[in-house]
Amino acid sequence: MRTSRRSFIASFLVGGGAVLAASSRAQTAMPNMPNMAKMPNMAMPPGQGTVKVPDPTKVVMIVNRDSNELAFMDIASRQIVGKTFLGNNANPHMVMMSPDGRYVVTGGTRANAAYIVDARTLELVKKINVGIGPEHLSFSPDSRYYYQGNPSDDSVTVIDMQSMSVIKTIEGLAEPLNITFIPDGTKAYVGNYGAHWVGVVDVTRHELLKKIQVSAPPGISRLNPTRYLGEIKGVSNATISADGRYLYCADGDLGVVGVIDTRDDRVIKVIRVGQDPWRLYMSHDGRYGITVNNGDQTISIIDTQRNEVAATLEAGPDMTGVNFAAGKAFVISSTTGFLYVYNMQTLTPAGRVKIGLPSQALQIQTATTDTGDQNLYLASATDNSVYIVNAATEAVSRVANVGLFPWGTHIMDSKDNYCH
Amino acid sequence: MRGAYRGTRRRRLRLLTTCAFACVVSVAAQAQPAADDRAVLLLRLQQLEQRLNQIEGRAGMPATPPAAATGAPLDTQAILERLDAIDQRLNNLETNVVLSEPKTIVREVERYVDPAGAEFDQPAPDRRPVLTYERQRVFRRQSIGEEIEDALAAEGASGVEIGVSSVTTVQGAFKTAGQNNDGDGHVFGVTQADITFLAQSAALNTSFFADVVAIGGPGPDGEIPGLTLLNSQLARLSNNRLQMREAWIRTELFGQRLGLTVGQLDLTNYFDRNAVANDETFAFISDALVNSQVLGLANNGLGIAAIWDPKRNYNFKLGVQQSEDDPNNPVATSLSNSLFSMAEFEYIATPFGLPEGHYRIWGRLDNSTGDDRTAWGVSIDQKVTPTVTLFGRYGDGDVGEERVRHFSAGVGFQSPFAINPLDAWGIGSSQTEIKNGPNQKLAEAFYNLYLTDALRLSFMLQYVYDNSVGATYVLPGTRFVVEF
Repeated sequence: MRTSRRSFIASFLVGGGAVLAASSRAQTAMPNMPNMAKMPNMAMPPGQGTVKVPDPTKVVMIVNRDSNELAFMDIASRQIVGKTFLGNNANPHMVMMSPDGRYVVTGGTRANAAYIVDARTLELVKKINVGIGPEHLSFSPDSRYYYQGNPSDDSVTVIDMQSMSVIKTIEGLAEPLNITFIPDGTKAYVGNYGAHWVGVVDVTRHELLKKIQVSAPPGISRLNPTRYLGEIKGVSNATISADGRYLYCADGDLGVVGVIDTRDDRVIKVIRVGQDPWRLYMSHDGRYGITVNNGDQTISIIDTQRNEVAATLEAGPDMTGVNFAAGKAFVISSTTGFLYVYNMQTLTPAGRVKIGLPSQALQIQTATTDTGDQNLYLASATDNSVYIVNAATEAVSRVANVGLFPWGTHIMDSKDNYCH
Repeated sequence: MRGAYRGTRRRRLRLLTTCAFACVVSVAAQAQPAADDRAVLLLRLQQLEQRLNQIEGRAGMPATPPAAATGAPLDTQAILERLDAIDQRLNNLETNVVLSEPKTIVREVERYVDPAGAEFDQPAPDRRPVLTYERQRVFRRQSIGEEIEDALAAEGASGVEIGVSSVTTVQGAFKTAGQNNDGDGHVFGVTQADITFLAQSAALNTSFFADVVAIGGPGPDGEIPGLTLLNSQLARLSNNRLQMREAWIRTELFGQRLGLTVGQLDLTNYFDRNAVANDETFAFISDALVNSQVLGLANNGLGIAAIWDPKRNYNFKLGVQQSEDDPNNPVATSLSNSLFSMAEFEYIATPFGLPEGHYRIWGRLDNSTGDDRTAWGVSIDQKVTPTVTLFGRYGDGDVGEERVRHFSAGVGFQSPFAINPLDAWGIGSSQTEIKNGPNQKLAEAFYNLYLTDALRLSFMLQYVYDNSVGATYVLPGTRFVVEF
């Protein structure tokens, strides 16, 4: 009896001390909470701060590589309504909002981390360590899984958005650049720029199921080691058709687009396009896809009903993306600062739009299109701006000082959300 | 009973209090050295974190303060977590980061200045935009590989790009009909070597290009002197001597819509271009299938070419060039003589649901004979499928003292109608007629084997009937191109 009483008192003393210790620890940890970047894998409860973005569909997200932040621009007022600093040397690469509009995520290429931001308060909710050199990413359609590609690590990190933790790392890939989920969310397709195949991932188990070879290198490739054994330019992206059934996978070295039927995961057609196609961009009605061929500075317009090249047209150097709006296609020529415009009814060139002053040699990056297909929001890295291009009139206006070295933009539900 | 119970309770309480006090004193006495050790450990951790911050370029970021200083408990788990974090950061540094100093970049920025001269980042009604330059400190950590790539790219952009190429052609001639036996059974060979220089200023949209060429060897045209050249390599060039084929400066004006090229020019590089039949080094070798014979340009010369290209489905070209029949014995005494003036309109269309086609119409004025002599022509290439292209040309006009009519047509094929993906082949024919004079009928087929990016091998077969020669010939040939 005495012994048990002593035990009770001793445990009271120890327990009280522990409670006091925990309380003390919580107090010392609190001041560090805003600096989440210093505390890997630490979560902060979302929604505690002031709501800066009441409607996530009404902002343009801008990823600023050199200022290591995400900026949020109100579409209506064209004002920056908030910024989320991720930490020095984060070097965010691509930004994306979850389909449910709750979170904004980005991969910090130099921090080897994924960042999760509350879409309403713009608070950094969590920093999660992932593989080496994270760049492009994707969400499962139900917003449950965030797939972060790590091209320097040849892996994809799977993050469960409910527990906000890494639940799996899919390995065995070769410079995975982009991930595409099919609409029912059961499978994801990974473009491997370091190979000539597309990886099929079972989203239930997060396992690499299959490798689909887009096309075989030609027999004569052995005579051309500088082309095929140098820096490989394989499959950057698997672009899904409007009906979600087919994938169009451009292969840079082979100069082809392989069409994959997602029902049985096999290539049903190989379409020859121009030299060194970067990837295919699908028009919003799904009728045409455009590859930008940086090898010969052309674009190939593919008729997706016939799976044939409908036209090959002259374009510019260093093309990084295509946006569709107002019946036109706008092709971004990064180093020239031009948008090459094409009429998507006649499939003919329709002029080009100079971004910035004629004397300026701006390096423009990628753009997103609003959901009304009216305006393009183009990131311009060299002058820290976003240019808004009216698709119908081709009038250009500038929003300056959005952050340092804006690399890409994103609008929730836009059909032109991509990165480079 | 109550008093005895109270006494017992007091004694028990006193005992318990004594025990508890003894325990606390004992624990405190044992904990003191451990707390000191941990404080030292935490201080060391803090120093490590500060050092890592400096290396990573976050010099301004505070390290987590030592727990002893803040009065926080000495939590082993927290220490382990901090060690893990340091370990992870060290791994990152070791694996992929070498240059960790923040970079300073000078950028062109737009600022807004009010009437009082104050500068702002954002526009306002009373502020005028001003372009200026500003140093910005950024945290784009780069690896050594990226730094090397950047350095090479910068060097390439500021340097002169030199290209080297060689084209060697061997052709044989076999007479199939006619009285003239010249060239029958003979083999001909031509080798040309080009060295090209290209310097560009992207900021000024200006480039300089020079092409020095040496060409030598007997072509079939020496023994089979028809109306058109059977080896177009020798067109507009003198044999067996080193010469400047082209040397020009090009600049772009008016929003880069107008391209102006001035210098030693070959106007056939700007006019009558054709997607299938316009390159003697990769496609047809017969000059009648490289350019319209009515263009009439004899040699390259000083000139200017202006191209208005709004990048829509049309463009417009104007060119003026001096072209002497014999550059070694020039007859022109000023830039007003031996002038060829040309104009061309090109339209791009996708008719009847076909892929793209290019439709051109051109006109030419020539004063080399003292009179203004005219010519006109059309040039078309139209894809009928993505890999099959039809082409055709027609031209009519004065060439020197003669009135000439020329037309050609053919088809070009690419993969999948080829052995290798980048191979190309085609067949074409042409007819050249001099009014009240001889005429020539020619047909050619070629197959261009794309071996590597630098090596290509072609096989050609020509058939020519020229009533100025008086015989028909078949000319098989090969062509080997090396290009770096």
